[in-house]
Amino acid sequence: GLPPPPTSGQGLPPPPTSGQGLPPPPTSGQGLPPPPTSVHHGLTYQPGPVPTATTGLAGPTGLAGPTSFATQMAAAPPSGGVSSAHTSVPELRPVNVMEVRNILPAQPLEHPRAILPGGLHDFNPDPSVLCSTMNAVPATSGMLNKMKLPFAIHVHPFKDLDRSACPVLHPRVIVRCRSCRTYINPFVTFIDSRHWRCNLCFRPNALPEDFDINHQTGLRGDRSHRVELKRSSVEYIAPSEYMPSVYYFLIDVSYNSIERGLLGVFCRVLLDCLDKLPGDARTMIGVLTYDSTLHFYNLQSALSQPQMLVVSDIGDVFLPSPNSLFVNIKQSKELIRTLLEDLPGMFANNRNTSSALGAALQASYKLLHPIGGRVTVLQSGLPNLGPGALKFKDNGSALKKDAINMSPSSDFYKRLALDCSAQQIAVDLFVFSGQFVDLPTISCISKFTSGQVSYHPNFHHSKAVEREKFEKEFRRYLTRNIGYEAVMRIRCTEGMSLHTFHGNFFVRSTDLLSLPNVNPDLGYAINISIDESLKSIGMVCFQVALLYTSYRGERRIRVHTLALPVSDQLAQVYARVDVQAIAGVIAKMAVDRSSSSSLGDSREALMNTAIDCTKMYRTHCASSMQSNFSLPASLSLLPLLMLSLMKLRAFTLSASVSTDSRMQAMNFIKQLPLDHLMLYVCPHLYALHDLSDKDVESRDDGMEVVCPQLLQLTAEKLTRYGMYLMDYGLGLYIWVNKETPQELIQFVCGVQHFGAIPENMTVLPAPTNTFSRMVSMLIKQIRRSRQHHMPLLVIREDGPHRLLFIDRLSQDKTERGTSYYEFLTHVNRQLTK
Amino acid sequence: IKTLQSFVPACAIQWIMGLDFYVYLLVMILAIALLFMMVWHLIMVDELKNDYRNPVDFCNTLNRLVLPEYGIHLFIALLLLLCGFWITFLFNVPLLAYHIWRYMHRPVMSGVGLYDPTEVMNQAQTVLYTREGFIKVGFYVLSFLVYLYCMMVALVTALTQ
Repeated sequence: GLPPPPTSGQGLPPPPTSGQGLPPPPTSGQGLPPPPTSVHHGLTYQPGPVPTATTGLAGPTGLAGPTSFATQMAAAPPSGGVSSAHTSVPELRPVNVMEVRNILPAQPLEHPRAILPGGLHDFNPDPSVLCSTMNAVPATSGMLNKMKLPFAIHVHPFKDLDRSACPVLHPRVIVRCRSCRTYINPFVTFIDSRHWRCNLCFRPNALPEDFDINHQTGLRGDRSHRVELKRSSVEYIAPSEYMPSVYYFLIDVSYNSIERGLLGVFCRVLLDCLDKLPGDARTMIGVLTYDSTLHFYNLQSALSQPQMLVVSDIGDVFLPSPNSLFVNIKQSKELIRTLLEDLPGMFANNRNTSSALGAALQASYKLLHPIGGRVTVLQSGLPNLGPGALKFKDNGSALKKDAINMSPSSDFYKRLALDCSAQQIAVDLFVFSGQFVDLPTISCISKFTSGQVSYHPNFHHSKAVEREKFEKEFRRYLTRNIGYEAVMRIRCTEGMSLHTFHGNFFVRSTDLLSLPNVNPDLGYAINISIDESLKSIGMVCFQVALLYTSYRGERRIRVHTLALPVSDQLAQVYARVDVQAIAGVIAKMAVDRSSSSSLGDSREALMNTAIDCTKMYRTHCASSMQSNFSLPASLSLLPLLMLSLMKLRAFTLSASVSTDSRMQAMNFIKQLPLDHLMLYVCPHLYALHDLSDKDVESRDDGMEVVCPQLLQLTAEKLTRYGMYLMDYGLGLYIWVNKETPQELIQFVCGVQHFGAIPENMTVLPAPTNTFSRMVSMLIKQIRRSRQHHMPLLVIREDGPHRLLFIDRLSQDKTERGTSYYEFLTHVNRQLTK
Repeated sequence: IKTLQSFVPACAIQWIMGLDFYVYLLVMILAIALLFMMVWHLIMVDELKNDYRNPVDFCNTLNRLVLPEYGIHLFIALLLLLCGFWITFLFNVPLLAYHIWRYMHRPVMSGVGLYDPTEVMNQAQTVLYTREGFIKVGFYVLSFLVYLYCMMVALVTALTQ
């Protein structure tokens, strides 16, 4: 484990706030902002006052981890190790949450890093790829239960990484442990020159003969050239010919869809991207349109024109032609182009209002099941005909909280999804309807086939904002990296086990997740439970191995390994906790709870997490002189994050949220990787009017980076003369006040005065002077850091979109929930009961 | 037994005097069948946890067993009620109530059964299934012993009359 904290005289400078030997700081109502938790290396442990444990009761349990049944805790004596010499650690600095006015830090929160002996923590992967809620693992499950916080890992395995971040290896032999099949990684130990010990099961293994030979120089020598030992994110290529890329598109051509102009937009974008679809010479494509009947298209290259084959028996779907319903792109390119150009015209007058989604999915399953692939569905209405037909229900705006039901109403789509998953077919769903589409039921088809669900309720081809948003999103969707026939295996050190899985996949066995398609925009989380005491193991490791077929037909394995130290001192665990990861996994658990029991339950559980965590901290770690409601600095954002979660569309009780948008918000929570999820929950707010040269920094590679300060998410801090930029993870908003100085409006928006700003402005004009150049640099920088498209919207203070911005100011009281201060008061009352 | 007796002609009274015995014999054999079903259920859950079986197969097999098991138990309870054995009937009532509650709260599915392949792999769920399995095995063993005892009592009573 970690070396015991040194007692005194380390020779490092004392922290600026308290000197040595002073009495403990009183409730920190001094208005100091909590330090950013990026202070990790070079911590000093200084002698400080000894906290005494106060007695407390275990409160009602929230969602924290596998211990959701009430644990009996008598007035517990301080857990082993809450003793001297640790309280001046910056992360443990007690923060009286009620008195800190500016709880959000000025710079974006970074993930805390683990500290391992021997500098091994430098080998840990990028936290946005693989991170854990606790960077010092508690040694026993008793300790974990005391904290009432979940222990989980977040993984974004297929994130777009370039070769320097994730090197690609093609070794002759892939070195793996012979008992647990773990891939060799930087954290293994070498027993002697020919053997290594696995860090997950601790059994010795033999190295292959030529492990030491450097293939470039031909010399035997040290192993430093072996990339697998120096990088925790690597990708192996295993030689084999595997399946080609297969893309199949299902388009709803019922009246709803035609009226919105969906077909035209889709055909245009697909025509553009036809050459950019990832794949090689064997890539195949097919199209199926459906309303109350199914229309297949024979695209055999020998034909001069695409031929439409209509199947009207949707009760018992059959394939009208044995092959050539989906064809090789290169061979039939002309026919495909003709088809895409003619499709909008063919259905321009279609008045059919039924939509046989279930039959269309069954047909595509029958078609693709020998080979697998990706099915893209564009649906614009409730599927109301044929197998899988759903009934219309109230869209939920007027329902009371007990009546809101997020569980599926039919298991047709779930069973079809399991069949598809077994045949390596993934289904991605795009839904375009403002009326009730029963999203909770139809999104099951994507959830269990590792697809994604995208919801555009306001789409109409005449609304430029929506059309552009969909076009850009679809373009990214068609051209991004894709992996087929994938399985993901997550291994962890003995003594821990995987408990619950969150994300879009099907769990085929205890640690094997079946993903017919891997998607670079999806992330996953896994809860971990500690089965045995980890005290004797100094370091625990997690390895995520994603075995997939690349779009070129190569079989590849992407491996990420994370190593974390074990600690038996509760204070150290609290110091290294990652509050963003905790909020992310709690959000996912709350979504599970709202579909298994009820929405009210999950809201209560969110609140209880904040309450229980504070109570447990007070019981075990805090000194009796601190106020009731103090949290360590590493966890000080937890109440704000819990409140922001309760105000999200997914969990709010506000009456203006329809069932479908609520379901989509829950889908986002389950699908998004951690960093984007955190922005969605707690957006970044920048003051554009304050941008100046002091915010521009020069990075090492000579590039200039704009890093303005982050503002608190409350209207109190917004001036009437300001212009603000909000980054909410899926897009950007620019807020313009009526009284913003005219020069700013001119520079940024290119119009003369406030009244002239168009209602739906999504593009800023080219920068003309320093200020607008900085604004556009900031926007470009944010967009570059994400792989998906970030739509921009300029919101006027009196415009129709202003609620989009105001609802995201989570520290304020809106119709979605209480203000931050009221929430804290409520929690405080619960704490003092 | 009084109600049944009124429907039976007097010449068969000699044979019917031992009806208690036959009822308990039948119930005991059904209890053995239930016991075997629960043991198989536990073995399947264990196989699931150790990766010898995938969730889809697990659910298909176990879902087919659920209604027969509940049906047999319901039949036992009704038979005991009809024959007037109040105490043993009351002994079965809690389990009957639990079965009804469980079936009403099953996940949404169009087929019969209680198990959904997508929810089965959570450790929380497998722990619940194991616990339920062990408790029911214990209950069925206990009820088997009770029926055996009652059967012996009925046999002795019939033989000494």
